[in-house]
Amino acid sequence: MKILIPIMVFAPAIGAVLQILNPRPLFCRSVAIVAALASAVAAGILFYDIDPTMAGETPKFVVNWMKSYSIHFALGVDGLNLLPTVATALIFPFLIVSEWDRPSGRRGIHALLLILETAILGSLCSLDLFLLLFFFLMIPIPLYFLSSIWGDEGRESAAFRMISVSLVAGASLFFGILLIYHAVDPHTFLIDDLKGKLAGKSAEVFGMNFEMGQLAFGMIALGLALRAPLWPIHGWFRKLLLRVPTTVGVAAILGSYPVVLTVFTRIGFELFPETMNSHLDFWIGAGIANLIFGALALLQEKDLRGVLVSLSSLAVGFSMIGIGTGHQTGLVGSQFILFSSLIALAIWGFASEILRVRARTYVISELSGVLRTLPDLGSSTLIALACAIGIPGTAGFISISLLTIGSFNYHPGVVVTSLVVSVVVTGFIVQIFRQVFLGERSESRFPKLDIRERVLLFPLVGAILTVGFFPSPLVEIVRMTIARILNLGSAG
Amino acid sequence: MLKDIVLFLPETYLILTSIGLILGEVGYHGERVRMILATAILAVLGAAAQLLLNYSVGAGRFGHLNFINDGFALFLKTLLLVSAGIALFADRKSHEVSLENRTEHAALILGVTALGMLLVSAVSWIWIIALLFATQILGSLILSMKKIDRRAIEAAFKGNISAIYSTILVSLAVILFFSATGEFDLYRIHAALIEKGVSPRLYAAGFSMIVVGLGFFGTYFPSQLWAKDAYEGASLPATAFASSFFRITSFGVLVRVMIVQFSKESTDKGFWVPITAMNWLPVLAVLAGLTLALSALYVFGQTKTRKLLAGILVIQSGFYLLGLLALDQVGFASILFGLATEVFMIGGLFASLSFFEDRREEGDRGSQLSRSAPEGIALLFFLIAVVGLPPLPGFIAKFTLISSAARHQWNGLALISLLSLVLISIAVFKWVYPWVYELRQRSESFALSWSHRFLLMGLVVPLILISIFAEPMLAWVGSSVAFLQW
Repeated sequence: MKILIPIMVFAPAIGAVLQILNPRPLFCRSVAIVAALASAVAAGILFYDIDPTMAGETPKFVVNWMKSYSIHFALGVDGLNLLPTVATALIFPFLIVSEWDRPSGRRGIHALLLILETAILGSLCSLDLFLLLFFFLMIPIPLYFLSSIWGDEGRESAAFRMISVSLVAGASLFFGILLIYHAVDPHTFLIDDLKGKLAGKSAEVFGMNFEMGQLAFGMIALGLALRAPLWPIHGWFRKLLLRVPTTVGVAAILGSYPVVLTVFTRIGFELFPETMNSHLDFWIGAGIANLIFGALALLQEKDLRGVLVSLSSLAVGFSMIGIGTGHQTGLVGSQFILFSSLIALAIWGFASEILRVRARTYVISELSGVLRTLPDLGSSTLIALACAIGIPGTAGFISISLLTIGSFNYHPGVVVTSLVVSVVVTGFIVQIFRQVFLGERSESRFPKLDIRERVLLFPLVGAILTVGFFPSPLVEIVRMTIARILNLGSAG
Repeated sequence: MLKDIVLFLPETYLILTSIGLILGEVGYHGERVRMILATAILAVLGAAAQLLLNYSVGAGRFGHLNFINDGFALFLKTLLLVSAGIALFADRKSHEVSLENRTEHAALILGVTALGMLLVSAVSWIWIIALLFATQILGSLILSMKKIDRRAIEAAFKGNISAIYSTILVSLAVILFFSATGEFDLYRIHAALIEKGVSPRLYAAGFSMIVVGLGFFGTYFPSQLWAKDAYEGASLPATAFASSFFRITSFGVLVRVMIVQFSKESTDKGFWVPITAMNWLPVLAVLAGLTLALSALYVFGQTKTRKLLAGILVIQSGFYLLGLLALDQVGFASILFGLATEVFMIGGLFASLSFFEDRREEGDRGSQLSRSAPEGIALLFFLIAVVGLPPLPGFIAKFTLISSAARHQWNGLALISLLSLVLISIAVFKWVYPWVYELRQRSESFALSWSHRFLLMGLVVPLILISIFAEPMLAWVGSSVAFLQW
């Protein structure tokens, strides 16, 4: 079964390479969708096959890559990365379908999306820090070309800012990982082999001595923070998403906070548990700041794509609060919100693109009464927004509930704050929905959704509702892994 | 005697072919360009086959003990031949080199490669100095082979001036060490330095002059300034060849001199330590840091293609100095690995760029890549590899070099090198934007010949293979360093 992990990660990359072989549209489209689906099917089988009790070994694919540097090609799936991995593998085929009819440059956009998928899945599943760095540094490269080529007016500065921030983030992560690698003897990048070996280690830079937990973890945390839409260093993310088609925007979201928060949780709690636990207040504070910023940003959003940015900030905020609780239930909620928010944002992204194709605008105030002509689009979007704000019956409700329970153990004030923000956000979201879908009937009659557009929406809506009503298998898998990691931390 | 003949065979063959090309040029006036290039490429292939003979002879000294046949030299000779092969193949359709100059160009490439091969196996300072001077002068002439362009002549002139400075400095250093030890042979100087000792002042002066002198050749601080101007003025194929050639030969000499003359084996296998009380590693660290930082700042401010590429070529030397700092087998292996990947990356980058530069109209950079998708993708591929971003082997090469510095606690230097990487990557992405921003629109296509496709595949495939099989590659180059004779 472990062979499915590299298949899941590399099937999209192979699909991207095959795009070069034959320029005929039928061949290119078929290869792209088959590659993305192969990855999604592999992810599905892995999810189905994984032992929910986590009693035995989780699936891992480990081979030596560069023995002299102790670099392993180590990929694995466990409760910590399963949800974002499945969400990513699930959403990418829809991104391919979303760009199915693009009149020019379709081959390029498909190839770049597939390379991006490999980079994201590789980052999520890496169990070797070098491999993580390898994939993590790959993510911004296809994104740069996607945004430079297919973006709107102002895409140059948006793409440039994104790549600059990402390169600084990569360098910071690189340095942190390098320090970790050389701190242990024998040197290794394998996370499993590094557990419990970094306590008390130090490193010298420019004659100054630093604790490894401060310097290496600090550099890694900084590198990760720069790549997440984390207030106040999220400017590149907003600028990027407001300049690219929403398909690219959703792909950019997939490559940002799900990867960052999963890696942060893994490295933090598995390699630096003391540092992580001694900074819980800071993580909570960052989460609350993001919640407040996300809510305020949502209030003044004028663009459908801006809603993606604000909702991303909120998801990061909730997830950071979950991490900051340092509590099993809070951490499960933190992982769960990655899954639910990704599906919800993907639906919103596809809905925005469907609206743009018809109304030729992303501007919220120029849209009105869409529900009457496109009721299926309106209903799907409503369910996605309900998921984003945690309405019962959706996956989002499970996430918010778990977070609330976990946060209460930490401090009831956190619960109150996050609930107040949730209520305010609900109000803003209802306003946006009213403006776009309710309100006065638009003069122009939009054509009904075609089959491709329905395919983009309905399966993802189904996923939201299914997980909303039957969350138990997912919760259990995540819970057991988190419990194991937290036990390791307390033992260390 | 027979052994000596066999061991000099590749160089002799290249030099004879080079002379043959010139004689053919003088005596024959028919259609000759294809024949010249075919002959030159066949000579490179023949020399590569003869290197196998050298390998089968085994390690040992030859040429009156002035040269050495070891894994290190064989590896570098192979790289020089690959570099020459790529240069000759990439050169065949370049619009920057006139048809009348093709013979001289090919002959110079063969001749310089032969001398470079001798240089990386020389262990006597007399030969090292003579070959350094000759290769730098002839290499500079290659830089001048461009259709009427004053900047190319200036480039060659600067190369020649640097050759003179370089030779003077290294010669002075050699005289100092000869006065103290009475020897020109690297191994004997090493033995004498350990046995008799030498005054710290003389040692420091000699060491500094050698490092600075070789810096002209290796294009690192403080002697790198000529290279940026020269590379900017020369034709693209000549720049690609010259930069790879100079770096392979100079770092070949530098590594050998640093290990053989100035270091001794540590008690730990695969490690070396400086032989005297003067620890010269901080000197190299400062040079590496300054080369990286200054070149990165230079590149960061550039928007012109040639200036940007010239800066990127120069900065590679800073990374190789990091590998030297480690003074261990893994560090040296990382230098050789980096050089091996660089030959393909630089060759590919300049071949792709030359394709577009030869066809596009002046000042027209917008969406050029859409005019030939395979060539455009190849250009981006090589560019990302040169900068050192994943998933290409340039990343692995940069990682191994930076890791060498961090392994010996040069963490600040590792940080500087990472920041330099960030700066050059940002500059490259800024430069790339005009090439790609209208890629979604169709433009009139540039035809891509099959021979050019063959060249691209011949460069892309080895790079991908090096990336996948990095471990055997690193082990191979590591063992070639261990093959050094004492």
